[in-house]
Amino acid sequence: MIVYVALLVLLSLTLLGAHQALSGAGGPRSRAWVSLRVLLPSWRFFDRPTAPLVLSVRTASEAGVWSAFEPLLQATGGGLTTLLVNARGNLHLAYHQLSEQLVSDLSVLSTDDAEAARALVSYELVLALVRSSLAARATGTRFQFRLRSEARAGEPAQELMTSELHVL
Amino acid sequence: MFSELALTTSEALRAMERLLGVAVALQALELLLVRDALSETGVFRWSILRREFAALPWLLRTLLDGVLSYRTFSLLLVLELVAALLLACYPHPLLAPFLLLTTLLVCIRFRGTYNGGADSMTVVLLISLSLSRSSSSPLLARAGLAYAAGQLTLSYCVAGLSKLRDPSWRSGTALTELLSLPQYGARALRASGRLSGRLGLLGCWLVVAFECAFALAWLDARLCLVLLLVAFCFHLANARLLGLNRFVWAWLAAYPALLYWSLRLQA
Repeated sequence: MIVYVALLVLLSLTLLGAHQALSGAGGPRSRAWVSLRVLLPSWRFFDRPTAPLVLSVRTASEAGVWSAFEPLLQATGGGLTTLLVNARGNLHLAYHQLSEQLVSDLSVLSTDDAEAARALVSYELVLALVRSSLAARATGTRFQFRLRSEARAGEPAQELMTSELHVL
Repeated sequence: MFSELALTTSEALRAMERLLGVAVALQALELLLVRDALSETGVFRWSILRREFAALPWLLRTLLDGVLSYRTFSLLLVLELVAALLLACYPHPLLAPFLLLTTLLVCIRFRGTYNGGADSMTVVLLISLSLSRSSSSPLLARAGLAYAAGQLTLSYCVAGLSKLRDPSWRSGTALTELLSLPQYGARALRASGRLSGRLGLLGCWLVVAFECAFALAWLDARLCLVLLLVAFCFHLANARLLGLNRFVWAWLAAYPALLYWSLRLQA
């Protein structure tokens, strides 16, 4: 009996979550909930197309001249075998998800405090991603990364954040 | 042809186990292939991620440190791969609960999910199988199948209804916008270029109509088969265009549960 009730509760909670999602009543979510959200799926796939989010990076030469910002995450193609195993492609999507998490975490910060942003786990993870992409560069290279939502129908491009200076 | 179609409870469960075994094995294999990204020189390094669990009691934090640090996590993925292959070939009642635990740990390691909905569907099916195989009660087995079938139906219908609320899906621009997102690469971008105007409108409404109509699968077994076939093709297209291959296998593993219930209700 307990099992049937548990299954019903899980289904109902999924429905409830879905209902909240449908009515746009989602609030700020605690980290504990986010870690266990997999238990209560929302099933709202691609319901609202978002503006393209681009993570880009620029580096400074030894003379102190900055390069232009270059997009960091380039999607990899793949043959039919990726229908079975798409390890690189899914890792790429997980990296992109990190940028989205950082934007989401920054949006709930009450202040425009660079220190608070720097302390975010998502900031550290994106920084690690940028560092790993610049691994071939010389030690001591200075760099900055930027998150920007590109223009889409009816919405202009928007710079979401530019990091402080970091050194490899 | 359809009148002869039958699926017993144990056949449905076995089909789910085989398909889910393959799905989880592929998921574990994919993570093992990119395990460098999980090491202390990679992006998803545990020394950063563990900070999110600072508020947990000491014992839990120590447990998570023990399980989710690079070396033990790699071992966990190997064990998950072996257990998933066993589930596909030689089922045992303890395999599904073990895989449920490893899948949840993978999700915790990736701050919620590694691959979004595919992880959710995997967890749903592992819960369903764990309960169904926890005793010899046919009632419990049927309840587990009903749970999986219910969540499968919700996965399409909720997605369809939430799209219906969005103006870009109704006006036919959503597919173009979605396919041109930078994370999905050149193939999706090319498809986006072909989906402008009326074709885009038709594509958007076909997706919304199919997802909303999916609940009809419960009413008739023939209709259920047709909808499952369309759904499978839909996931294949998503895998090819967007790289979402994990969804194909996770959703495919849920189909026997819905087919079982559709046939049962019709009978």
